Amino acid sequence: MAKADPDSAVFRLEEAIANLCQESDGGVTQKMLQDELPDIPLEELGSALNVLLSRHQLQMYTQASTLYYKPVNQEDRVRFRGLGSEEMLVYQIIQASQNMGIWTRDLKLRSNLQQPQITKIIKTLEGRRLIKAVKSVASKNRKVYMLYEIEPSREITGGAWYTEQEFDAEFIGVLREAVKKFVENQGKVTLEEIAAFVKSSGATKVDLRLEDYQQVANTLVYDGEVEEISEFDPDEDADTTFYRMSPMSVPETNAFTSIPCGVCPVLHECSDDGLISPATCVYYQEWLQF
Amino acid sequence: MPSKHAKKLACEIVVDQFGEQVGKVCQTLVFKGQHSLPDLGRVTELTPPQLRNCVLVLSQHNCVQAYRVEPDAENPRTRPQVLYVALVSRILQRLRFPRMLLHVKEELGPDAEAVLEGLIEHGRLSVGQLVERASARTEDEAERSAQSEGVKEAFKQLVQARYVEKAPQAEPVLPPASEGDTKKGTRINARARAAAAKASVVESEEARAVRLSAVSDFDRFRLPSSVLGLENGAPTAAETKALSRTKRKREAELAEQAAQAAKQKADEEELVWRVNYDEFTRRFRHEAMSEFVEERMGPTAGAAVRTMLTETRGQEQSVAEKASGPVSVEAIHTILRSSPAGSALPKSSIRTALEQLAEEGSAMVTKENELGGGTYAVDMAHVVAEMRERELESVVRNRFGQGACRIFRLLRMKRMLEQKQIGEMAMIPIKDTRQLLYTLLKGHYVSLQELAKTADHVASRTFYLWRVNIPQVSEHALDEMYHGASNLRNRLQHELAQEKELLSICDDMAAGNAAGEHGSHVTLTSAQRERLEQFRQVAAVLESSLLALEKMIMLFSDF
Ligand code: SF4
Repeated sequence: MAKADPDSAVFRLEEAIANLCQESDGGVTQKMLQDELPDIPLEELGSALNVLLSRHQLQMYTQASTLYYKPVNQEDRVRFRGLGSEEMLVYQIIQASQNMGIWTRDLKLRSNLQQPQITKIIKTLEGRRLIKAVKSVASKNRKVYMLYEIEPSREITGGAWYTEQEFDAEFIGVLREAVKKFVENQGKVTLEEIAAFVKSSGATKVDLRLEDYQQVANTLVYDGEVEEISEFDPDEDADTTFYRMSPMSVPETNAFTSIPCGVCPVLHECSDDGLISPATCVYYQEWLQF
Repeated sequence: MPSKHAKKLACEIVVDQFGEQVGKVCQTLVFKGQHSLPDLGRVTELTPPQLRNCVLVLSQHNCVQAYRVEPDAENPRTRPQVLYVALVSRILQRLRFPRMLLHVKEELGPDAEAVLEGLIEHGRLSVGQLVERASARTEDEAERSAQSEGVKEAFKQLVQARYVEKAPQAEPVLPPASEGDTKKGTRINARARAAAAKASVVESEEARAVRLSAVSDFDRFRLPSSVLGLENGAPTAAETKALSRTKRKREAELAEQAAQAAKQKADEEELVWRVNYDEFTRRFRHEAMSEFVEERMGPTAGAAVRTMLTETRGQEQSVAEKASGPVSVEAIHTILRSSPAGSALPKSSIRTALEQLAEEGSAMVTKENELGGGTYAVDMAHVVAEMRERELESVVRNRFGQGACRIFRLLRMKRMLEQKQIGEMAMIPIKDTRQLLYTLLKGHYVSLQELAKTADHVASRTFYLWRVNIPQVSEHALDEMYHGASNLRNRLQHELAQEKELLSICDDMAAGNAAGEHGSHVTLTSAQRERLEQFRQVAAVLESSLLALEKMIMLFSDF
């Protein structure tokens, strides 16, 4: 990279941008830059920003779908020092994958680099704490890479329901039981009341969101144990959704499931003169043992 | 169209009750459709007398209906023929006889039960035959006449309650195709007729035979005069009127009337009666619905629905009526107050119960208008649908587990979902979700629909949507239940065959005891006694399971 001429217009523009970024707390948007530097054509502004970004003097981040530029702090600059263009390419591809991360096969496709090269670059970037590997719950053997400071998406971690990439059925079972008991005892409750009760009961150490409680309560609705009703709530002065025990619960057994054939895994292979028949059936043998 | 296992079970029932030959004829009609007698002869290889006897037995017991097809006026070579149709649903309803007997005994007492028993045993009987059957049990003259009165009274009650009806016509005639069709009778017309027949909903053989043979509603439950006690009673209106006329004319008229009365009496003597299967099904349907509502929505709701169904029963046309007639809160209150059980129910609680039943979530009754403190009708179709779904869910849960049941219900609520959504909503790991879905698919309890986004049907551009098609699932489950019922019966027969020897010893002993040979030389060893006890338990379990299963089958086949 050629040494910039301190007197050139380009250099002055870069410096002006850097200063503007430094001055504002949360970084600046492109619109703010344009307002401050009204004489600069858009293309020049763009190329100056690119230069600053590539030199790691500036970094980009998005907030509420607006792009912000802010100066890279000293520590970060150290982390980027001496990285080559291929390493930067890989870094940028990973950066673009945001909180979903990207797995190596896609990295290879996008960067056009060979696998050994990519492996090496990833090692370097990981060593510098620029990126990290995250295991995905969707496919346990697959690692995805994302920027070090990024919180992985719930889709990758599975959210509250995964502990170390393992679906925590036991935890969910405990929650379901707690919610059901609560509804049973209280008769009619709101989602907020459910959340407050479960938190206070100590059934969960993880901080669950209201949506998480709703998800759990909904499974009870699907099971037919609990039902959702919409009723006028004087406290809220509006219609609120309540949960209560469902009168339409699924019967424990019925006349068909009480005979062996009703729950038989080979019902469709069973016939009077077949290999599997009522006369020779082991399920019947067991059932009729008194 | 009855399903595979429904047909199989029907044939087994017939063989069991009427023997192999009758069974063979029945099997042909059930599996191959209607036949004429000569055709039946060719298929079954039975002799004409044997064959005639078989169809007689089957007709007598309401398992087969015959009808006559008149020759085609256009085509002189066709001859009249009589076709025989198997009534599979009637045959299957024979499993319901024990329940019918119990029901009548509880409602109308032992005399009515005995009359019904006679009709079940013989299929169809005239009043005279019923009386004869009862009096055959006693020698005593006085007792006999008392018994005859008892039978007639019980018979009257049974007909009035519609549990017994006039037997359908033995050999109704299928009217020839409409006039216009036959007159023009061209080939084009014939083709058009065939096309029309194909296009319209085709009436099943069974449905047509039943329709043709039906007795008019007026005649069906009209009691014969002998039962009404009119024979020597007060002069009829016609007779009274006749008194004012001239003597000679009057005498002539009276003679004619007497002749007519005698003829009518003779005709009535000939009339045969049978069990009205449909009325029993209707009562069982009402009872099951009331029980369901009571269990789910409380005793007041149950009592209200039961009252509404009983009150409007007379207005029902078919068994599987979609809605009851309307009844007001006022009327329910009045009826319940006069019944022993419901006297304490205040009007307001009846109204509250009905309002709850009408709520969107349950929707078991509909509000018709505001008259009489609110007038409601039972949404029978909805109640039956709910009852069926609960049973299906229970089958899914017991057979495939709780997760599968959750998915099944989830799909019912959300109609169509992709695998990923299902896993998330049901909170089941995606791998398990996939496995459960495919198990359910294999069991015919869910279906999978492909929705290609592009014409090339590339997998990555196709939605795979899962859903539950209740009519399809119900039909499949019903066939499984028939299969289960068939297996229960087969197992029972197997157990009987196993203990044949022991059971015949018992029969001998029983016969010996009856003949007064006390201390007969045959006794059972303790091992034999134990085995007998074991067998009795097994048989009791199998029989009661079959009865219970039949009740559930009824929900899916007849409600
Ligand atoms: S008889 Fe036995 S093997 Fe056959 S369907 Fe029933 S339980 Fe299954």
